[in-house]
Amino acid sequence: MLPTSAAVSSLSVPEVLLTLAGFVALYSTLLVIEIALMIKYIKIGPEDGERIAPTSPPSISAPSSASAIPAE
Amino acid sequence: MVLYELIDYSTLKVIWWLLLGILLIGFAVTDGFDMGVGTLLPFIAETDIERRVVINTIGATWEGNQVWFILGGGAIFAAWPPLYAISFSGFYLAMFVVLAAMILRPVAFKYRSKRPDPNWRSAWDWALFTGSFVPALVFGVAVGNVLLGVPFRLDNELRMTYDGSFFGLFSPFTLLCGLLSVTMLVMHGAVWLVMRATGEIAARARKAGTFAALGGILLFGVGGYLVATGHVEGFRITSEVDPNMQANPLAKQAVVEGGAWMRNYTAYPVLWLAPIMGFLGMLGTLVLLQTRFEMSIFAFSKMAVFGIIATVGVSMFPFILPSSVQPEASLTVWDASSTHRTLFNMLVAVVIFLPIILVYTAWVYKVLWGKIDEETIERDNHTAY
Repeated sequence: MLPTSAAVSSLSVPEVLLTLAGFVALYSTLLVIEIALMIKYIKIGPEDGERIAPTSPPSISAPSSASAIPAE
Repeated sequence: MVLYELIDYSTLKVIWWLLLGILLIGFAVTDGFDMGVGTLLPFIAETDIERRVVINTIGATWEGNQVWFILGGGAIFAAWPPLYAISFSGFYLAMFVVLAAMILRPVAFKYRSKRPDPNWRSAWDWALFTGSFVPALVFGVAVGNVLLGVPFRLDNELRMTYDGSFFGLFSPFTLLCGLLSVTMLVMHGAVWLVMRATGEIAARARKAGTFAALGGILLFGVGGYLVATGHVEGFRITSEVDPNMQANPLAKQAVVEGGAWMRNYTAYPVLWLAPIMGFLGMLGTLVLLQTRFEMSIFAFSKMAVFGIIATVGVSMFPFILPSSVQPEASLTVWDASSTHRTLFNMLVAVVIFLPIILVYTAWVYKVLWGKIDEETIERDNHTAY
């Protein structure tokens, strides 16, 4: 039998609070950075026509490739 | 007859000591050069494209290497539960510092090239430096503390109390061990860059590796001198110990004694091979870095990492975590291992899966091998970090 009193670690409350706060701060910062990057790339959108028609072979002539892109 | 009795309990304990040693060395040899490269990054590469070359020499394989670290934690939990409980609680804040630094590594790799802004890229370069340098230093400091003994006590119910503090981990000897760890991994990472990079970067890596090898020889020598002369005391078991006993660290007597970490070498002179390999590895790296050789330097560099870590292991055997305040509570291979059946079942898993892991890891390295230069980065601009 392993009672909880024997299984619990001897860490102090401030230590556990400190590391919890540390992880929350670290991950929150990374979350903000991640979301900012995602918004940036959503705004930029797909980079070029090739991405829209990925199946077209590279040898295809320029005008027909351009026809796959809607006119602006 | 039960299947697990095929292998003697005491033999299994020693096998697991060897396996965990190999695991630690595997981690240091593979993730070690990643950490060395990350530590060197801000100093060895100047322009953005140079930094991308350096990052991409480890970009494809560092994640796999780092899994050895996770495996290490899991393997300790399974093979030496008391060590897991005492070290993870005792080194709690140090563990947090290591984890926080290591969390910076993947994001630094992934985010760096997402924006062209030089300040952005420089910030992630320093994040990568922090995520490489800090763990390398703290791992060494931790090993230094293990050699000195850690201030934990066990009561009659084997409940642990820890008398130390985070800053108590840093003493001159443990800092020396931390610096040795950093120089060893910087040397290893520099040799990696000599193999995988070209031109100016490889030339600078040769210089950095030379300094690191010199520093490593000096620090390993000073550390060895302090232990051999008894300035750093070791531990010795003074009572009879039954190697087949069930885990109970309090069933023995032990003392702190100058020179006790040298006793294994007297009893088994063949163990001198470990420190000799450490020195010879660093010396060979130092000499070969001045020549045109590339691949063979890495063999010496690996030998140095192997030798240095093995030296710590064989000096301390059978101790795995000595207690500086209650020596009889020290954890040893004999009295802190899992049960006979657990060790056996895990060995079966190791025998099946370790060869598979080694084969696919070797295959990955084979496929991804080759020099990385500025042209490679420009050609693979979108897929490279």
